Amino acid sequence: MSIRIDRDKCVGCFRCKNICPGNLIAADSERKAFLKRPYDCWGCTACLKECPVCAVSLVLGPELSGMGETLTVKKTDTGYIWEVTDRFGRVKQLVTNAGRANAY
Amino acid sequence: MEVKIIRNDVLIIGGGAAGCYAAGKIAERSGLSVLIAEKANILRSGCLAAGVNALNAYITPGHTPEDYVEYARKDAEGIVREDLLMTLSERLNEVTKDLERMGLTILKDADGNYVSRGWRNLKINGENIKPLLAGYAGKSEHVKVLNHVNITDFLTEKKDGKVRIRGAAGFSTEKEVFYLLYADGVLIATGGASGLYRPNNPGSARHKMWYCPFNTGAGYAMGILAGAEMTTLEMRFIALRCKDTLAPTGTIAQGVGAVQVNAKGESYEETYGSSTAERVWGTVEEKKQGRGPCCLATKGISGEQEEDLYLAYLNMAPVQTLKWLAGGKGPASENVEIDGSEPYVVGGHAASGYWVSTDRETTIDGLFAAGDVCGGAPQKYVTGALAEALIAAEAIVSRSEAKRRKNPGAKSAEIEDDVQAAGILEKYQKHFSAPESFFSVQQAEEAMQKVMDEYAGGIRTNYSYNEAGLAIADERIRELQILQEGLRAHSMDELLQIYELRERLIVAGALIAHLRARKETRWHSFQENSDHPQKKKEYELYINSRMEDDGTIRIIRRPLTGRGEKYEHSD
Repeated sequence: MSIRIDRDKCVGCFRCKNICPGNLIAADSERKAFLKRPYDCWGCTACLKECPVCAVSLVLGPELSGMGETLTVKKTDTGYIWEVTDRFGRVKQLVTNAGRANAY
Repeated sequence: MEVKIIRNDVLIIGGGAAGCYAAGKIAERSGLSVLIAEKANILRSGCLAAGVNALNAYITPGHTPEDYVEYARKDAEGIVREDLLMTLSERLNEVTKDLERMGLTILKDADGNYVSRGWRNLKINGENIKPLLAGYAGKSEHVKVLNHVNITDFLTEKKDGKVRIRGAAGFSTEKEVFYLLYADGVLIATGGASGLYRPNNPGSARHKMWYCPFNTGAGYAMGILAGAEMTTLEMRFIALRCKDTLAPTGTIAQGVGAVQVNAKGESYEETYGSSTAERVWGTVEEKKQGRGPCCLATKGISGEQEEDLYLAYLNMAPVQTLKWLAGGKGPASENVEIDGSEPYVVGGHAASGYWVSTDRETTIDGLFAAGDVCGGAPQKYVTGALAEALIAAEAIVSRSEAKRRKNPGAKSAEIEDDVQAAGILEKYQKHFSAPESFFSVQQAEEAMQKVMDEYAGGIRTNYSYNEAGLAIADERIRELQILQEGLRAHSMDELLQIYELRERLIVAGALIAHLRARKETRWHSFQENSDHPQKKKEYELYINSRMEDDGTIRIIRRPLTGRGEKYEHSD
């Protein structure tokens, strides 16, 4: 399980480093965020939610029956907009609202 | 290396759900200064980083706290502390109201009543539960938070044959700073222990597990080392989860009414029983007998139900939604495969943890425990952990008020020449000056997980164990402890990893002693002793333990405590 940090998008604010519950993110020599030990990531998405420029995505690897599909998330005033890119390249958007309880 | 010394009235170790809530409560009800020491950042640390799907412990109209105690007691085959379950159950609805006040969304009907999912669960949106709890703790001027500081050892003193808490020692996970945190009262709230056993998923995805992989058993380890009494560690918790993602199954099972079926499509739950342990055991048995894989039968649910499941999982385990959508096969078109996780030691679900009084004080004077680290009260879930934090907070406040009345204007003891603290800091330092290790922390950790998996009832043996295997496991864990002590650190990050391994090895050692001591099978899968495959009347008791000065684990057997009794430590 792991995340991918897009170095081109990363603005070096290190909010992801500060929030990671596993202390797994660090700054590289060019002041960009990187994941120190990808195999130690829990996949909790705290860093995805924290990133102001959506530079972090969750990637589904082959060990979890994935083929590199991704999940990204953008914070809104009422919750989050999530985007899944499936193995065929199709994008599905899902909107969650903090004020709306789960149906189940 | 810089050493920072900080003194407060109360120290809370671990800023998860229980720690944050207790901090806020103590501040609300007293003028005591509170410090939370947190390994990561309280905003998203601990079990609730991604959110939680429901509040699973609530007393709905028409039910009583006694009903909840009875449910938890039965589910745990009688090995529970009924006094702890009762005091906790009585506060469940109070803490739920508090969560709502903090801003948690709880589903309500047109009349403003909570909508339940079953007789003891509430429907919520729990994605933001951790930031809400962190905000609650942080809003008081009396609460200070030390993020990115890892605590490893208690500071104690022996007086009149009693061990009393003085504080704790730790280090920054990023800067070259050691910390000595002194306090009159300490709450341990570090969560349970994951990563003791080889996990379901392989190396590159090893942390895609059910329980928080960063809960490494620090609180148990500190207590064991300090000679605190522990209870029921042998009641491990194994979660029945969605295959690969290890995401919760309750939302699917209860939400869309999906039943567990084997490869032939047969429902098998009734064959094995419906307790938490039996549901895992049934799935294990079906697979053993060649009828796996097992699934939750979701095929045929409506498109609307499927969309609702996608959203519900985004609010607690987003990887499951990703997995469903990744291959274009959602739960409406394909059943959801389920599997048992590796075993964990976690007192929020099982009864393992600190042996405490009804007030949640441990056997160390002034040290209280709440949440997953606290034993005797299984099925506590989030609200139970908060209720426990509330009970501990009240006890901490009244204890310090009583102290102040008895001895007004008392000065805290001088902390120079703290030999115990110096010894702990020296140990940290030793890892930086140790010769280069031939073995990495990862290698030693995987060796531990292999030993536990093969000889102490891991996935490999379908969770069952026997005495012959445990004897080997015990010896190997001791050897790995020697290896761990000699590991070299080049950074604070590496020191953290070395200490996380140390914690896991200490917990593993104590767990083996507990598994050995229960010479029966009390809970299928959770504690499956193949030398003694039946439940035995003479084991209707608590298996407790204490570490002796020479490092051996001494087993203590104690009779069951009644519901209405108030338990206080007497020996």
